[in-house]
Amino acid sequence: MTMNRYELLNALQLPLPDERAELAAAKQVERPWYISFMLGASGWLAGIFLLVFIGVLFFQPNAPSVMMIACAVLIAAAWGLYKMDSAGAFVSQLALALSVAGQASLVVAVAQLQPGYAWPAFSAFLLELLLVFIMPNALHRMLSALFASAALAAAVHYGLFTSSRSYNYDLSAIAPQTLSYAIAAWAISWLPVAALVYWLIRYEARWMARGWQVIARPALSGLIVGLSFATLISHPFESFNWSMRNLTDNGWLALWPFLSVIAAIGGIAAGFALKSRRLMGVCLIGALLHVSHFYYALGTSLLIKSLIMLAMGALLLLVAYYLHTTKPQGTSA
Amino acid sequence: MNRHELDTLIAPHSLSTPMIERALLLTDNRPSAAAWRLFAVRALGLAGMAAMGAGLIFFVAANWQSMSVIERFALVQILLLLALGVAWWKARSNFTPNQGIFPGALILATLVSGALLALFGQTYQTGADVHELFFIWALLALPFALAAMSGALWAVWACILNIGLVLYTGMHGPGDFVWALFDRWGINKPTMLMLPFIVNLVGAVLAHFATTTRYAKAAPHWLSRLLLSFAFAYGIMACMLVIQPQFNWDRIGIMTAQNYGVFAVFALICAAIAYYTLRQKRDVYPLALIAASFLVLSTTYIMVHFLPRDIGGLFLLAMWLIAASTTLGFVLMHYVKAWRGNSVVST
Repeated sequence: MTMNRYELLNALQLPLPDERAELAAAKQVERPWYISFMLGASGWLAGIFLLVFIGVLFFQPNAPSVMMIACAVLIAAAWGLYKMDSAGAFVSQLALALSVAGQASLVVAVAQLQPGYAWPAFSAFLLELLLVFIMPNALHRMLSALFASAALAAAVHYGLFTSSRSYNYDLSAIAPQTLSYAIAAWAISWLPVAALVYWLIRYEARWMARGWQVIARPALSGLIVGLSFATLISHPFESFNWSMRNLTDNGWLALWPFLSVIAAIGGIAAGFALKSRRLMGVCLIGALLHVSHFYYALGTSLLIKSLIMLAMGALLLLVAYYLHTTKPQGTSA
Repeated sequence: MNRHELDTLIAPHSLSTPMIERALLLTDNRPSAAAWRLFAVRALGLAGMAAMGAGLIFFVAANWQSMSVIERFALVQILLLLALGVAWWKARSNFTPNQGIFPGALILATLVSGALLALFGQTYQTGADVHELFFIWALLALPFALAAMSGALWAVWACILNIGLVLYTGMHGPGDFVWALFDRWGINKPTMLMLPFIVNLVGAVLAHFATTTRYAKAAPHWLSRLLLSFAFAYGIMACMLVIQPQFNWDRIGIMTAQNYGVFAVFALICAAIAYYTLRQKRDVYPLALIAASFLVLSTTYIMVHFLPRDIGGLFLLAMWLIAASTTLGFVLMHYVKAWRGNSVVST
């Protein structure tokens, strides 16, 4: 059974809205995902162009301190624009572009101070986390949550398995690429995100009652997309290395895409819990991409990978069959 | 009533947690235990079959040396027979085509037939091009797609066909036999890309009109969106190659008329889609694809013609992207609001 807004207000014994409230509600239409995607992608690209333009024109890009100041100024400008005119589409796009330029400035500055991927990724994680809370815009919050999860995965991945000043996997890294370290690193990257998604869904009514939906709703969407895509985004040079050039042996890190298939399936379940087909569709695409990434990831033989996939397939079918044939508790025969 | 509408509705009322919990239940925004169970059975069943199929493809691709040729073929063929056997058993016992196991088994059969084809090519070194393998795979899988009456299997089939089309139109260059054939006819790269554009467009149109026929279960709304997205990806790529002539191989002078033709055909088809969509007043997605095409192509044009001159081109690009995407977003949202009562598609 589902109810429309009037039936719901009646059922909850709440007053019906007046004409002004009706008009305001008519204007409040959820933006479809494909329009958000177009606006988000354009804003990001514009931000990158803007950053290069500002960097070349006004600053010496080699000075980290200047880049950090640029980061603060650009993000403050973006925040101000969002605050000034949160409903204005042009202003929102400009603010997103400025914010992206600011975020990129910080990453560049940290990369100049600490070569390698790990520290820039960790600084991006902290910044994105902050932006989820302070940026007064739903699209920005969703993107920040997505990139925060990707940045965390990148920081753990490169922080543990490459040496501090290197861009390559090497023997002087903190952790060897063994099975236990690969699984532990994956768990550090993804269990907090999965736990947060679970908590946000489980206690949705509680945070809605406190009026947190402005932050929690877009953050939840971003985290669910992150569950299925952030592993790919977190090490793009390996994930999207279609040319197969310069592939390195990742040892048991080759298991990450497989584990990420499980995370993407978790994302599909989260999408179902929210009754959001678009989130389920996005997570399904993520799962399929992870399977193809798993195929190409070096470190484990294809034979072992195939046996893992076959075993997982058999297990899933058995569980499905068990659920299908057993009656749920509390139902009579 | 979705969550966004619920958020808007309850915002002024300061409701307690139990009341919001009740509102979520009353508006059907919380899946019931039975719905969760059904979802789990279907999702796990489909994921299990997909994992088995992928595992088998991995297994064959591993080229496991200790297996004889007969053993390898036997293994793949037994799995193909098993998948078809499950589909046949489901079809005979309880024919409800859109339920999970029947299309799931045929999806697995589709994947396994690809693995069998790959194994055949690997073992006997047929000399066939990779795109030929994908086209034959699509042909072999066509009966499964027709039998399954499932949007998911049609989507898988479309992906196989499109990989073949990408390989056919994208990988060939001067020196290849196929290229020599097209080159003799004076067909350039952008024109070649219009072939998969048209193929996907026809598929999208068929899927769209099938939604009102008895084949509606085989053609969910998202399938026509997917095929239309594929078509636009090729169309945009073709037009980008026209704008960026250095990617356009040789004989640019001779090809100029063809390039105009590619642009004109793409523009005309966009106009026709826009006209139909505006008349139907149901789904904004096709308009969004047209808007995205305009955004990408105009940005490419500015990049090619203004960026190399000076650094100001970067500023121009950033401002253009912001202004154009804002305007297009505004126009699209206008139609989303105006048509929201008519929409049959979940946005």
